Amino acid sequence: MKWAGAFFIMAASLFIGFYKSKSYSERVRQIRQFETAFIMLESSIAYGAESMETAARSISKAIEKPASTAFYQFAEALATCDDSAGQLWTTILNQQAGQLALKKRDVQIVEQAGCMLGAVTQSAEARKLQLVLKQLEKQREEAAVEEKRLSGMTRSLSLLFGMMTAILLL
Amino acid sequence: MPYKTIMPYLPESTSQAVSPLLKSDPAIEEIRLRTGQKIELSGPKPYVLSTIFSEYERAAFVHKITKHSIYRLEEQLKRGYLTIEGGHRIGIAGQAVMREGAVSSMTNLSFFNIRIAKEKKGAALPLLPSLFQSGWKSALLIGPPRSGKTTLLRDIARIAGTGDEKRRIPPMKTCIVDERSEIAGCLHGVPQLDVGTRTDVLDACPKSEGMMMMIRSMSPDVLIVDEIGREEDAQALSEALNAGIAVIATVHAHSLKEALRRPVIRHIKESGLFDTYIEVSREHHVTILKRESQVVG
Repeated sequence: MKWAGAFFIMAASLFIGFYKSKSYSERVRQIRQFETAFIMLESSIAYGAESMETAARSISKAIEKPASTAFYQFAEALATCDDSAGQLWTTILNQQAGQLALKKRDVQIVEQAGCMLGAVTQSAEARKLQLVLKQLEKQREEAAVEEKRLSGMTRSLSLLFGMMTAILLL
Repeated sequence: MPYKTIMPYLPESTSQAVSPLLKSDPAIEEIRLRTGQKIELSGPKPYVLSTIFSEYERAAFVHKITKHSIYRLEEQLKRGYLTIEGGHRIGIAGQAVMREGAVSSMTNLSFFNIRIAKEKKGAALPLLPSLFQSGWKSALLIGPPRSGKTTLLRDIARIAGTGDEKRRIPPMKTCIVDERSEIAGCLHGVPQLDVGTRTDVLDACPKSEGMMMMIRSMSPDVLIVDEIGREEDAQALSEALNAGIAVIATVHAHSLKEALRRPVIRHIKESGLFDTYIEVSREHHVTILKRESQVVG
């Protein structure tokens, strides 16, 4: 019975460790998703001259979850709501924030992309998205360093913490 | 119900206010929206509604007409209007953005004039004896704004492009140079109004360049063009007429006499480029002023 309990504690501890470790790599992955999405949006605006709704819909099909969900909801909202694209983007991002592995600063940058979205000229849209992309690139590099530094350590610590708890309880 | 395609573009309260009037008075030609002012409907009988077009509605209307994508409409904003489904044209005024001394775009869009496109099939039938005699004749339609010149021109294009079996008019290769998207009301290059089955449309292209492009590439029998008046237009017209193409065009003026005050129109008349001159009054009365058969040399 004691051994079963110890095994359970270690398994739970390892699960927490791996979950936390995964959030580091997930953050990098999600920043990359938004970077890809904004590059696509920029080229849609610059070359395709598609409407924001069409662009958001095609982006939602091209990228993975959870960023794709945000763009899908954005396209749906653009088709039905009278609010500005910027307001709609902020609302959707706030709704989605709980499901994202992004830090507060990352979300703020992604939100910035929505500021004046669809309300300015092609060149202004391109300049703003370029700025957002540069900021996201910086955040991604920082997230990658953090992942490298903390991911392995979190897993090892969780294993050690599990073992220590199990020994103390035995 | 030509106005039905306009309704999805209007904010809900505006739509509710104008819809009953548009339904009851089909002669309404324009919906005028001015931020902070009462909504106005104009036509033979003007209406001023008690509903105010508020700032919130302005923003909602801009989002709807631009589809949240101002960047797509830079050219249209520079021209001051855009065309929506159904061929309706929305004139826009706001704050002009200047670059290198020229209008590059417009911002703070606050004033709108929705011109309801109306197809009046058969409107040009009374003109056919003057316009078609074993072949199409070149004609210049002269009239003030809102006299129905473009409606007549559209119907002429429809008859020329589709033909009329009853009147023994065969369908001809018809080309429209539609600089202001008024004749065919093109949306994404597709005519929203009936302009005939054998009709090709060059949308949003400057007239003189467009006429030359159509002459070179589409070999038209009939060329339809709206609102001529520049020196280059006369040159392109001369080119078309010398190529044996029947050109039917319009010009802004209350009468031929007034139109002739413009050197370009005077030059066109003196050159004998047109067979027929047709005056159209604001009350939609049509007068065939002159019919000449001249060899254009």
